[in-house]
Amino acid sequence: MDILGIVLSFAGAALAAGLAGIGSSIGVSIVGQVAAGLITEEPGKFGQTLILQALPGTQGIYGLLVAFLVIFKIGAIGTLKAVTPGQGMAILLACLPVALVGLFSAIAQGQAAAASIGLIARRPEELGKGIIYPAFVETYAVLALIASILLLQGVTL
Amino acid sequence: MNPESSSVWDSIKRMYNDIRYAYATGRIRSLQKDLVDETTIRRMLEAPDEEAAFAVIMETSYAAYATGAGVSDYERMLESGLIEAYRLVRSISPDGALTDILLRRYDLHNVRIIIKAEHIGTDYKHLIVPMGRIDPDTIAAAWHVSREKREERSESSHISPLTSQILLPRWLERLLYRAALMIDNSGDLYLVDLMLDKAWFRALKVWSKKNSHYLYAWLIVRIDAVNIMGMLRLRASGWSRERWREIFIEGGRVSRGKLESLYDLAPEQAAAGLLNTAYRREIEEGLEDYRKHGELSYMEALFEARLLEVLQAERYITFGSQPLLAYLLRKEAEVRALRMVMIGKLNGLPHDIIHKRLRAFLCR
Repeated sequence: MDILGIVLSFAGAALAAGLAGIGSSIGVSIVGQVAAGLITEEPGKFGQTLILQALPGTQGIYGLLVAFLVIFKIGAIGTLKAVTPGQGMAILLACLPVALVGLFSAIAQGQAAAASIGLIARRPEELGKGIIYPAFVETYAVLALIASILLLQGVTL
Repeated sequence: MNPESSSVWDSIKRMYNDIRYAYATGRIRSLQKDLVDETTIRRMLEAPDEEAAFAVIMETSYAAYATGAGVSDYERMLESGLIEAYRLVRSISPDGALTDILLRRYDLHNVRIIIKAEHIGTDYKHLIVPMGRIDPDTIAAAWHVSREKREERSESSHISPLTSQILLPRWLERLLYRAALMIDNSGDLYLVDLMLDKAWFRALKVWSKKNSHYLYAWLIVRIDAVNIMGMLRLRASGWSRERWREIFIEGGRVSRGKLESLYDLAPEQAAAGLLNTAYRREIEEGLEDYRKHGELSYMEALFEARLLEVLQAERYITFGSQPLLAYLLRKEAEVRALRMVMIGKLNGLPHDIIHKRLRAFLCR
């Protein structure tokens, strides 16, 4: 069995889950801090801020999903399949869209959601608009997820 | 934060620095709603007397500091509101220097009061503003030591006699030392006054240039406003050009040379000479009012409005030190406006005169 192909596949899965997870944790943390400041003064807005805080968390889930797909594809749970270095590299590259876009879009979405908290601090009735703005950032994370899934489908073991 | 930085690494550092302010920004966004708005100021203006105007204050966040003493309580309430705002911002800000640099103005005010009180042999305590970071008694003790050690000072002019005797920040130690030297050499308290005024501007400039482009932009306008209004007012009061040079503050956009070239002109012509600066709107409108009423207070109010306008840039900041700075500076402007209305009402000033001086808060 060629170990390099397996190592490259593991690296892809680790990057997908790791980088997207880092992005989400930063994004969620940013929104959480701004929300905590607002809640100190207005505890009644907890529910509204919670929705916004959850938004940047999805990239981490997308990363984990792609990591699972890689794990199942190479049989990491159970019997490992034979993966050539070329296939391993293809799996690694397939993981990059969700890893990189997940990292940066989660931080950007966190910033957009934090700005929306500033909006609901002044105009709580505008929560809907406040959710829509950061939700648009999600589009690009979803596109990257689709790209990663399609690329992974293209690798035949 | 640093306007000079532009590399990717600097941008990342800047972002992480700003993230430290996330909690404080969220809290300030909520507190901003409690700032007194135009409607409140208008209601106070339209109040028939000081009692009715005070009743409007009692509907604002300042009511929390009322002791039940009535109208006479307003000054203490406003001061308490401002102290509380600074205390709160300092407690939530990741960088204490941000509030300390603004509060230094009050420390310098207290230094001025202590020096003057000692000079004329009176008590300073009732004139102290309880907002500085340094205990006024410590300043007074340090000033005493400084004065007593006159001989030491003159023998070794580069060493402050305060060192190792009273724990003071270096900047204050240096200022007291310089003030003592000035009084020894000239006995002119006015020079000490000037030095203390300029010290705050200088400190703010150095700090903001390094740490906050936002505050720096505000400071530039503030320096220009002080210089332009100073030039117009002092010229109108018959001050000599040399005397005016002493009060000029370096660092604004309008140069000393520009103002000096206009100094010998009548206020109206001098103001017209400033129309090609960044303050065209303020000068133009202020000049129009000056032509009608012969006073510059409206132009001053327009500059105050411009300063508040500069602060509005924080609206587009998701998190960072800017909302905190804007909150404090707006709070200060708000206290000034409320005080102005109350003083106007207590002294029976006509509605339109108070209205004009509140241009910063009123759209029309």
